Amino acid sequence: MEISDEILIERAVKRRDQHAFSQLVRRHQSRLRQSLRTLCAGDHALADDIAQEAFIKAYKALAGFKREAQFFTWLYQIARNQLISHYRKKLPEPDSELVERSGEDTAAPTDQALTRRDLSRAMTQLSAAQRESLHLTYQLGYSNEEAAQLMQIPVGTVKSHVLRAKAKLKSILQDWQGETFNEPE
Amino acid sequence: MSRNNLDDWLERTLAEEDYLEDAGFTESVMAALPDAGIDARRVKTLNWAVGLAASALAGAVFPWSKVGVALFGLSLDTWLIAATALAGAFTLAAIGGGLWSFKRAP
Repeated sequence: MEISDEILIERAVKRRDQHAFSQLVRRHQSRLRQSLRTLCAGDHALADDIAQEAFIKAYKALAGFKREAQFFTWLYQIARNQLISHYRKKLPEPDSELVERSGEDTAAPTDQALTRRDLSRAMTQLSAAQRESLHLTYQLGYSNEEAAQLMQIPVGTVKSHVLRAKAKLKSILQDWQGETFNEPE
Repeated sequence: MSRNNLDDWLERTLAEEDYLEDAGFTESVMAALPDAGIDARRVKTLNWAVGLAASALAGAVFPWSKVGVALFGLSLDTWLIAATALAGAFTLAAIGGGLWSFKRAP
């Protein structure tokens, strides 16, 4: 039986049990890194660095975690703030070379069938807010209200970001499909 | 892919969640964590326990009967002098501490 986040947090705080915290990291690393990769528009190295910083910050602040929200939601907020402050400090922008390289990997659909990688590539062409809205509501399964709270914007704006993002994605993907059809033999 | 198929595909693929292999991520986080250090609550409890044990030991070996008899044998004047001396010592300590802090203040 899997030990709940609450119990692991209690062990990490009260017994200063680092093993309990490592279980939390292992459990949530994939979702957090995936989320940050979406927010960083494909800069995987930056996303992983921010994820690591977020876990360390969460560990230091774990005793103050009030359990009003899910642990992941709290962690996501920490990571999001870290990323915002990273961009505010004007540290290197997302590694454009790396992003381009990851784009080259999925440069054009090789046949009619679209893949998940095509979607990831298309998502890099959305605005940061559109990407985050889609990620929160679709991939992480938050409601529009929860996403709005996490992004600190009105619910209506989240809805509009989601609608526009989907429309833009459809248009990009259709264009790519059209290019594939029209490619010379 | 028709428009309807694209809609379906998009809805479905957006909702999919890719699992990222840990690949040493957790180890790198754990290695970067600050030391667990000393638990302040445990130190406080230990301090109290040691203090109480020392007091109990001192109380057990203290010659209460002899000191009690000697104290009851003192005159009122001696008690007043002792109290005044004690109060003076506390006052001097307080003033000295205050002056020392004042000199150290930036």
